[in-house]
Amino acid sequence: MSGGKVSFKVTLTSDPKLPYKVFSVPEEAPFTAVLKFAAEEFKVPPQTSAVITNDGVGINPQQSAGNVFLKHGSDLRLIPRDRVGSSSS
Amino acid sequence: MERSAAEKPFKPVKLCSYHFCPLSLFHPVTIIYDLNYGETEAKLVEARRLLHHRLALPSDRPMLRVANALKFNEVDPISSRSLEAKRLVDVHIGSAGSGVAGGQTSLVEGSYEYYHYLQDHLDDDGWGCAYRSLQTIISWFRLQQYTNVPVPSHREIQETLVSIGDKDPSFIGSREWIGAIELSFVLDKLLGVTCKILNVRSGAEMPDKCRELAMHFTTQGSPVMIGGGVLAYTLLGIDYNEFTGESSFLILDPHYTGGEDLKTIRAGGWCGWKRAISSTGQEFFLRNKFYNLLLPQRPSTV
Repeated sequence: MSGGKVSFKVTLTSDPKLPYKVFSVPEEAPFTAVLKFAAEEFKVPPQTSAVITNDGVGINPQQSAGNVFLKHGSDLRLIPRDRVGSSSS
Repeated sequence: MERSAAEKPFKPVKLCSYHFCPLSLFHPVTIIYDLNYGETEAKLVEARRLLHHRLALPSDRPMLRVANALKFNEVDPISSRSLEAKRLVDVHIGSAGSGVAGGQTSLVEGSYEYYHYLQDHLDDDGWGCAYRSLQTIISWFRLQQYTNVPVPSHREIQETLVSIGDKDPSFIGSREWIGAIELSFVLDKLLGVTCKILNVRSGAEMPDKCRELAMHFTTQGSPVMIGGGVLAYTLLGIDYNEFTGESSFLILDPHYTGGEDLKTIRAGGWCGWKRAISSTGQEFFLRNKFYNLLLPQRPSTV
């Protein structure tokens, strides 16, 4: 079914009001595009954001949107990425 | 052996015999595997499933993988060797109590190795704590015999992230920090392990996650990585009183820079119970920072 579109509902979990947006993209589109659009819509940096499923499973954005839809469904969450390294002392 | 030769008459087979003695059997068994297949190749999984059925073994956990095979050169039970260094295992055993009155304790199940700063002659002080936490988690999967993939070095972790496209090639050899998301990618790529990620908006909400964390330790039993507020920790257990709300977290700290000395590690608090709010009112988890908790899931597989 080439040329089809898939839709994702992405919720911003860092906001207690849990705002969400729905995106519709071509199946072949890289999922990085969905991540980027979602981050820009929510005004958070895409480089420090990640997408997880509603069950909390992390999604590697280096795959097609169609693949993500088949494996994980359409209900997703946008979370900030932690980057950790130094001791507090 | 005959089946392997018949299936691939012109392809050389690489047969190797392994001996197993799962607890539910009264005698050891020997299985001959064709090592041309990887562990997770579908045909080998099916062969192992059949063997589990024939031997009346549980069908939801690995017991006949190469990693489960009997090893006749036994390692010291107190410490183990990997990456050419002697490492302590299960350093939380014998720790002082959590101090939570009437609390319910849930702990990591099984063994792990304690990875921390400056091991393996690598100066990762100030940047390597999440890498060390990942190494501790992978050691748990090894010691529970889910895999015989070696614990990766920092460089190998970086190479994995580049190979899946999460980082640019310039990342390799750098001192860049990583977090829970990167750990989930590496565990998926190297071990085929799925992780759940709990995002906690504020450190003040960490005690609210105690019930979920207790459920994790009860059902999965794997160590948890906590990333947030520039620090990575490995969580080995929870003690909480659901009526009073008091909670304590058994933390294995990868920022330790000393030697493999259990007394020093205990005395310095590098492995021990940390109250969410200490007796002096100090917060262990910062209220103005978010935290990501990485909960590795046991593969239900043979």
